[in-house]
Order: sequence, then C-alpha cells, then structure tokens
Amino acid sequence: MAEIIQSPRGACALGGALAAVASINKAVPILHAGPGCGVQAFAGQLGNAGPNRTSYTPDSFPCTNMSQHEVVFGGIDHLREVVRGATEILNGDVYFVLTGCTSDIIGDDVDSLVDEFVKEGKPVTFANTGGLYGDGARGYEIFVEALAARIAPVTETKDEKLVNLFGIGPGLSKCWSGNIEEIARIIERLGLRVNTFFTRGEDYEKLLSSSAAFANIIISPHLLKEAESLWETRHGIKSFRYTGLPVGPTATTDFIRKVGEALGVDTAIVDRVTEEEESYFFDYASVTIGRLPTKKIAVVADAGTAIGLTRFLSDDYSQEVVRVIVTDNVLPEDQPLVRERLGGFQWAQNPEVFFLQDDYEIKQALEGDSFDMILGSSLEDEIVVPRGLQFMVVSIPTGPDMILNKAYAGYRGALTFVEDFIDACRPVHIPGISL
Amino acid sequence: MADKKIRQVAIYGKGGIGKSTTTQNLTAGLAELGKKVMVVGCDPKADSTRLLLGGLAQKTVLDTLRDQGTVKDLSNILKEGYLGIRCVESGGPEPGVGCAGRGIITSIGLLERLGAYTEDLDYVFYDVLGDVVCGGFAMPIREGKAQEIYIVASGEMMALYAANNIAKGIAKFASKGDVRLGGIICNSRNVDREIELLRAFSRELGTQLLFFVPRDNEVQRAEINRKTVIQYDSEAHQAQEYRALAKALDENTSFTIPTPMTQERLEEILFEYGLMDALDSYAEKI
Repeated sequence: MAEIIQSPRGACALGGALAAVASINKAVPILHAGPGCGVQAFAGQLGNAGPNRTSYTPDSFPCTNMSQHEVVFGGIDHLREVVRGATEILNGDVYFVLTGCTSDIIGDDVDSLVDEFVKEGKPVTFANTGGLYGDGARGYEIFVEALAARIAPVTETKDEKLVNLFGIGPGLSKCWSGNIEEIARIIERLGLRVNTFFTRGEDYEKLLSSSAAFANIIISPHLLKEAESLWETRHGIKSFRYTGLPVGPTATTDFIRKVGEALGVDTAIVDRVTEEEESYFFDYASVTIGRLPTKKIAVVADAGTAIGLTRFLSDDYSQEVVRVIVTDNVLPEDQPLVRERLGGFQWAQNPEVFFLQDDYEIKQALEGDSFDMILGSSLEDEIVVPRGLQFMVVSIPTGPDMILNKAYAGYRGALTFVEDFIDACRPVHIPGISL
Repeated sequence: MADKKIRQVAIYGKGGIGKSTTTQNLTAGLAELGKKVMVVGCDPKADSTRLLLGGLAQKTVLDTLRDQGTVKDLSNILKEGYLGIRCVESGGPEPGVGCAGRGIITSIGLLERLGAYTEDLDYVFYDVLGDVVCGGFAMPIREGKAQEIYIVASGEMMALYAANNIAKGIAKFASKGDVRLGGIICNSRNVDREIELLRAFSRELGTQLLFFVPRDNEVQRAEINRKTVIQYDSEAHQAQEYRALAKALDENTSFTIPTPMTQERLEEILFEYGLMDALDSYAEKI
C-alpha cells in the first residue's frame, strides 16, 4: 500500500461512522472534532455514494469545533456544553458523540462524559472514530462494534424470527441503501424479520432490539470480524457471513439457500421463494437476450461490489470480466478469500485481480487494451473517453449520478443493473472517428 | 551598540534530578554577574521559579489563558524575582487532561507575541520537565529558540539512561538547526566514582562535563526557606559552587552535536566505572 493515497475513494473512520449514524432515523450525531472534519467526512463518505436520502439532521451537526484551547486544556468541558445543548434543542431519539483525530490524540475521556448523561437517563452514546483509526469502512466497523459493545442491552431472550443485517455500510458503496432493502426484502420472504438499521426509516428502537436477534447476517468478505466476535461473546449471537454482495439469480439463490440452512428455515419455503424470485428475474431478463455481444470488462470497486458484479456478469450474463481492481483496504490475510471469490465461474475464466487504493496505481493497472468497458467509479471517467471505452459507474465515488433507492443486489437489483449496463453499452463516439 | 544575541538555554534531565534547583541557583549566580535573565518554567507542576520568587507566587500562562481566555498584559504572567530575574511559568492542564506539550508550545508562542524577549536580556532559561515525552516538550529546542542545551544528570543509572535519551532528541534537532549540547551538569548523588563516570559518559556523548555540583544539605535548607542558596546563605560553600557553575556556563564555548550511545555501550560504561559493583555491594549490605 502506498504511504500516501492519491484520491482516496471515501473518507476517514469519522466519515464512515458519521454516515452510519446520519442514516439512522432520529439519531443525532454530535461531533467532537476540529473545524472542517464534519463536512469533509460527511461529503467524503455519504456524499460520495450519491445523494441517497437526507438524514434526520441533513448535513449539519452539533460539533465542538475543537481548537487550541480544547487541545491544551482538554475538550470535555466544551463537549459537555455541546451535548447538553444538543439534547435540549434537537428532538432526537439518540445522540451519538463521534470523536475526530484531535480528541483521540489528546485522549479526551469521552466515555466518562457520556456516562454523566446516561446517569441522567439521556440516550447518549459514543464511539472513538478519529481518522487515525482508518478509512470509512473502519468507521462503519467501529460503529457496529459500539452497537455490540455498549448500545445493545444484554438479553437472554432471543426472537427466533429476528436477524440483524450487517456488512453493507452506509456510503461505502453505490446503491448501499437499495441493496440493503433488496436483501432484507428477500430474507423477509423466508419468514424472518430484519433489522437493517440504516434504511426504511429504522430508528433507535432497532439498535436496542438488535441484541434480541437470534442471528446476524454479514454480507462482506472481510469487514466486521471484531464485531462478529463481540456479538457472539457479549450477546451469544452467531453470525452467518456471505463473502460478497449477492447479485443476480445464481448468487442470490446460493445466498438464500445458505441463509436458510444456517438459520434453520424450512427448505420448502426456501425452494418456493427462490423459484418465484428467479422466475420474476428471468421474465424480465429474457427480454434482453441477444441485445449485447460479449464484452471484455474491467471492474474497479470495493471487494463486496466487485465480487457481486463479477460473479453476476460471469455466471448469469455471459460477459467476460478480464480484470478486477479491488479498491477498499483488504488486508493481506483476507486477500486470498476475495481472490477466490473473484474466480471459479461456471462459464468464464478467472480475471486478473489487483488490490489497489492509490488512484495513480489504479490507473496504471487499467493500462492496456485487453478490455473494452470499465465498470468503476467516477474517477475512471477521465480515462474512458480518450480510449473510447464504454463505462458505467458502479462504485464510489459515484459523481453526479442521482441514486435514491436503486439496488444492484439480489434478484430485482440485478434487473436494475442490467438496465444500467445496457444503457451504458450504447455506441461510444470517439472524437475524430465517424461511426 | 553591537548586535547582542540572547543566549537561550534549555535545561533537560531525568525527573527529580534537580533541574529546577540547579537552574534557579545557576541563574542567581548569573544575575550576580550582572546578567539579565529570564526563566521560563516548562513543567505543568509550575515549580521552576519558586526559589527565585520566594514561593509559588504567580499565575501560570495556561491558568491565565484558561480563566481569562487570553493574556492581555505580560505583567499578568511575568514577575521579577531575586536580583531582577524575570520569572514565567508555562503551567499546564489538569493532570490527565488535554495536552501539556501543546500547552508549552502555546505558552512560548504567547510570550513571543507579548514581547517578553526584550533586547536587554542576556539569557533565557527554559526549565523543561523530565524526559522529552513528545514534540511539545521539545519546543524550546525547536524553531530557533534555545540553542544551548545542558543536561542535568548524576551517577545514578536511570539519570544516565534519561540523559542519553535526551541526547537522541537533541541530535535529531541539531541535524537541521543550530541547537547544540553545551555539556552535562552533574548534580551529585554521592555515588561511588561519580565524577569519573560522568566524565566518561560525557566524553562518549561527544560533550563535556561542564560542572560537578557536590551534594550539600545547604540546598535543602535554602529550598525549605524558598530561596536559592546564594540568597539564603551567600557565604556558604555551596553558594560558591553555584557561582562557579554560573561562570562555567557563561564562559562555555564548547557546543557539540551529541553522539548518543546504544543501550549496550551505556551499560558497558556503567560496568567500567563500577556502578554495578557499587550496586552489588549495596545489595550485600542490605
């Protein structure tokens, strides 16, 4: 990994945690950070993944704006004032203090301060989310760890129909909101109920009820390992992990069958749901048969999205993905699994796989003429026009695309993906060449 | 008038080694020589000027900043003590809160803005706490402030470990600036062969043993009376020692970039000069 990352795709840990909190209905983030941290983190994470929907406190949060005085004398007194003010003025269900680098470097004891408010019966909690801890994905992990460690109450009573859905973090990928909703929709067809936390207007109650779930479903090859362990040791909740976003009938049916097996769902229900969903998918997808020749494609995306789209294109859609660049921070020990999931297709060869975060290195890895289309982020836009390549935005930063509840995951999401994919495959006008 | 350069001196050394005591007695000696001196205490405990002021008699820079939000006038934080020595205490946040290192940076910046570094000064002394634990405590030797560093040490092992560590920090800053090590000041603990050990240690560090301050209970008596030895008992032998230290520092022309040693080499020197033997015999005695 480069020491300095050129054009990072997303924000710091504060950004990932802020995106998570801002996506919970009536949750108020309170930033204990320096001036500018909030706007950069918010725009850099949630803003990079399309507009989505506005949060309870759209893009304006209480913040201590820590400066020299707070650094020297500690920022707790000022934070106390800001938390007090926020709890009095803003009508939130829960108030999350999120720390920035400044606070974490000087070691402000936010835990004790939050405890003062908790003793008053106020729903205030916190997470140490300074950018020094890592990227936005790490911030999302810290949020889920805080949920398991201090927000969700310990309870012996488990609801045998309730599951928590994790792994698709707010702002960490394109269509994160729609993807969560589509995955939840399918799981709920199995007779389960799903805490998604960040969509469908879900609020603090869902956070509190998370410890009553009987299982977690984590959709990610590499995120939330620490959280997974916390859920098990503190709450006795085991996690079922699916290593990549399920996109299209092959992957989604595989996902549903494995979920059903792990969670003890009646196989007759699983069979009925997968049959109906596949039928729905193919009714529409059959219209597109013969519309496109096989293309050679490069995918540039986070691990979960890259696995999902590459598997769909290879297994379900007769396309040939020749190169994949995984752009989120996949640690070396997790790379073999991601690499494995980016291969072993029924009808296609394995692509070349790179793990790169630096934009210059990504662009270098996209050199050559072995592909004629890039599925990437808006950062790849600049190289497709001069090279006459077809292009589609599938990962963050998404640029100006309007994204509301669009999904690429699951059965219905895959149809949306096919629509966007075919739209993106219109002839490219290369300057100086008349077609 | 020819350009006069203020000699800015920083005193470092292991916690409890006697930096503040040495600095105040030394500056009293310099003041007797007619030198204009300012002492800036860079320790959150704010006890670097107690002997010069006859007690903890002034509000620290950071206390003033905390209470008033700003420091409007130098007179709020600077007081004249024995023989007109100007005394400032940086102070710090409450223990366990905030960043004392950043506090030192803030204080020194404020002193500069308020015009504390007047042209008539001959010396500014920075009395810095214990080890250089972070960038803030290295502030006095960064950005062209103190150019002369003296390390107070003794023949005790941990004092020499600390001195060697401090020398590493000085060497780092010396490579890109004018800061130099002026020597080691031994504040004796009556350890066996202490002066030989300190000489060998200084030589290995590429510097000199500037002065050996013998142990004398007169120092403690003066401290209890909130005075420097020179003020408390001007004729005492220890007062003469501090005058001699002041003269040695005033006349010092040996400034070097230190050559800190490895842990192994430091321990070799300690063995060579019998510190380990002394420890063994001490262990036998008890």
